Order: sequence, then C-alpha cells, then structure tokens
Amino acid sequence: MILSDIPVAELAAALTQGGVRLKVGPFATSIEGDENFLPAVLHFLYGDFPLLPNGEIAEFRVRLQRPGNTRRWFRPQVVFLIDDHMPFQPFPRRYGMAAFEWGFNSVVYDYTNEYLIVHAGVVERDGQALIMAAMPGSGKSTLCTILAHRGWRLLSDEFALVRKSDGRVVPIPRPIGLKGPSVELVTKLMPEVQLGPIYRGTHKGDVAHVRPPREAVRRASETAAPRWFLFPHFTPGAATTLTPRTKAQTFVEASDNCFNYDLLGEEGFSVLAGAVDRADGFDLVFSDLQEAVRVIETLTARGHAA
Amino acid sequence: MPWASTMTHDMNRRWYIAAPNRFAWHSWEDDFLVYDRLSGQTHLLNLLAAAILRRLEEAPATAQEIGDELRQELAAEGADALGEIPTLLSTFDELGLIAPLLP
Repeated sequence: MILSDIPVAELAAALTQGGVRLKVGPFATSIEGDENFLPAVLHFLYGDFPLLPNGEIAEFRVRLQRPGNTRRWFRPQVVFLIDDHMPFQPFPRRYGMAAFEWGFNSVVYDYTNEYLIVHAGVVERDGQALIMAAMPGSGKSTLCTILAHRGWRLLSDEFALVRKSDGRVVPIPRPIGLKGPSVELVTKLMPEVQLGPIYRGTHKGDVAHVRPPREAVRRASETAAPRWFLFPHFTPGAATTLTPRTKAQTFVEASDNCFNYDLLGEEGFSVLAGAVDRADGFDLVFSDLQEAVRVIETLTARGHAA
Repeated sequence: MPWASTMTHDMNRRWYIAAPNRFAWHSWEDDFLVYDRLSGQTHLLNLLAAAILRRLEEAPATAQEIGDELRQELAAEGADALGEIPTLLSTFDELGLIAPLLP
C-alpha cells in the first residue's frame, strides 16, 4: 500500500492522530503534523512511497507543527521536530514544505552513521551510479531532474548514501528541491515534470519540489555501484567542458562534499577510497543544461561500453 | 648528490613516528593517501613524501639516512627531488605526523 492510497482527508486526520508511517528510502519514518498545507503537499510529493507494514517500528518520528505561542498568528512560523528535538530555529510558515524537506535532510545527516553521506545528486542506469557531488548553486538538482526524467533512475537529489558494509549506493528518492531560476527553467524545458507548490522568497530564494518519478520510488530498495563522480559547476556564459580528475583529486573533492567523513574516521576513509577505486572522476563546467546532459550521456555511454 | 646542497644541521636530526601502526594507506599510481589514526586527518602525498613516511614507519632516521637509502631506490629523475627531504620532514613535523628524537 502506498501513501496516495489514503484519501487526503484521511491523511490529514492521521497526521494529527499518531502519524503516518512511511518507508523513505532505507528509513522507516513516522510523519506527523498539524499544518494545514501538509496533507495535500505530502500526498502529492510522497504519494508513491510505501506505507510501513503493521508492526514495523519507525526509526524516526518527524513532525511539522505550528509553534504554541503568538507566532501562530503574528508572522506565523512552523517548527520541525525530530523525535521531539528541534534541530533548527522555526521557519517562516510561508516556507511550507521546504521547511519539512530541510528538516528531513538534517535527519539523514545528523542521525545516521551506517553510510558515508556525500552531498550529491545521484542517478542510476544499468546498476551504475552517477554521483554528482557539489555545493548548492552548482546545478546538480537541475541536472538530476533532467536525467531522472530521461532514462536514468533517481537515487537521490541530496545524498549519496554509500553503505559502509559493501560500498553500494542506497537510494533515498525523495522530492528534488529546485531553487531560484531552476524552477522556471525546468518548467519550461520539461513540462512533464510534476512540480509541487512554489515557495517564494525563502532564504534560499524561490523553492519548489519535483515529485520523484514513480519507478524510482518503487525500486528504492535496489542499490547501485558507484561508477562516476561528477563535480558540476554551473558557470553563466561558460562553454561546456568536461575535465578528468585523477583518483586522488576525485577523493579530495568527494571528501570535501561529505557530511560525515570526519565523523566516520578510518571507516569513512576506507569506504570513500573504495568508491573512488571503482569510479572515474570529472569536473563539468557548463551554462547550457541541454549540452551538459549531452556530455553526460556521451561520457556514461562510453563508460558503460567499457 | 643534488640534495646535499641543502644540508644543514637538520640533516642529522633523527625523526620518528610517535605511535605504532598509526597510518592507513591507499594509493593510485604516484598519489598516496594516508589516514592518520591519531588525529583523524587525511593527507595526500606524492611519491617522495610517501616514501619518506613509509621509511620512518620502519624505524627512526635522519634526513641524511633517508636520502642515502632512497637514492638507491629511486630512478634518476626521482633522485633529483631528494633535496626536498628536509623541507618535507619539516612539513611532516608541523603537521604532527613525525617528531624529532631528542639527542
């Protein structure tokens, strides 16, 4: 049974009465909340995610709620809670689902240590993972959106979860967060992309979320092998250039993009070195998205043939 | 002996690695990663730097001794770089990877 099997009205009731229990990638999660916008947007963005079977214990309990003070009415806010702990100061209420998504990100990087967590968009084809590791503003989410709707399977827009036990990338195909001009660009380029509400003027600019493709959610238990580390650099006006990195340079850049490399100590070192052993590294400078996608397709087709 | 021109009193200072089994290594061609179990830091080393640290893992040594030994192991172009040994030892010292033995 998946979330969209529950009517929105029932979901709204469940969110305030004990929560809705979902399998989000590898994480068994209970979601609660009393915000009016939450049921419909959650229903849309997470509609294909499976409900947890009865008896399976939720590892995390996340909650999006209105604060219990005057901020309910005066410049209203929302609070994200993880197991009753508040990782962030309250967000303005107009941030809507963006507050939930940012909160959920913190659940992954603050509460899990079974994985080396690389800040990256990840897509997969033929069992091979393309890890696009980069800082915000690099274009990774936009690339991720396009690739995830053109024959690649979305593993994650935010994290490469590299499992410590076997070095494979574990999917967590949550909604893709688009920011700023990317929102309009994706809408124009790919009208088939299912986009949630646009939240204007957040501290990261305008934000909207892409509903993850159904197939990606359905296959969320299928892991992939790291095959390419791509470091995208969106640079206005730049010609598209793809430059190979040595293994050592790839390691250094990838480790800079990890959330928990230092925390994992020697395990992090071994897991990342193992992933780089099996992968090729490249820098991709681009300004034209379509051309960047063509370069990626050429690169990965070559890698696949080899 | 190209590296002899940089000889100072430091050439006879004996260096050692404080903790046994301190480093984890991973290498690709001439690039070496070393993970320091003591500090949790990772360092990227070239061939010469890695050779020096590997040598000190075996036993304490002076820059002079390391130079003499590596000279025999490295090809001619590698031997040209031996003059960098004192500087590399100082850098390792600053990074806390090695320390001088007291006389």
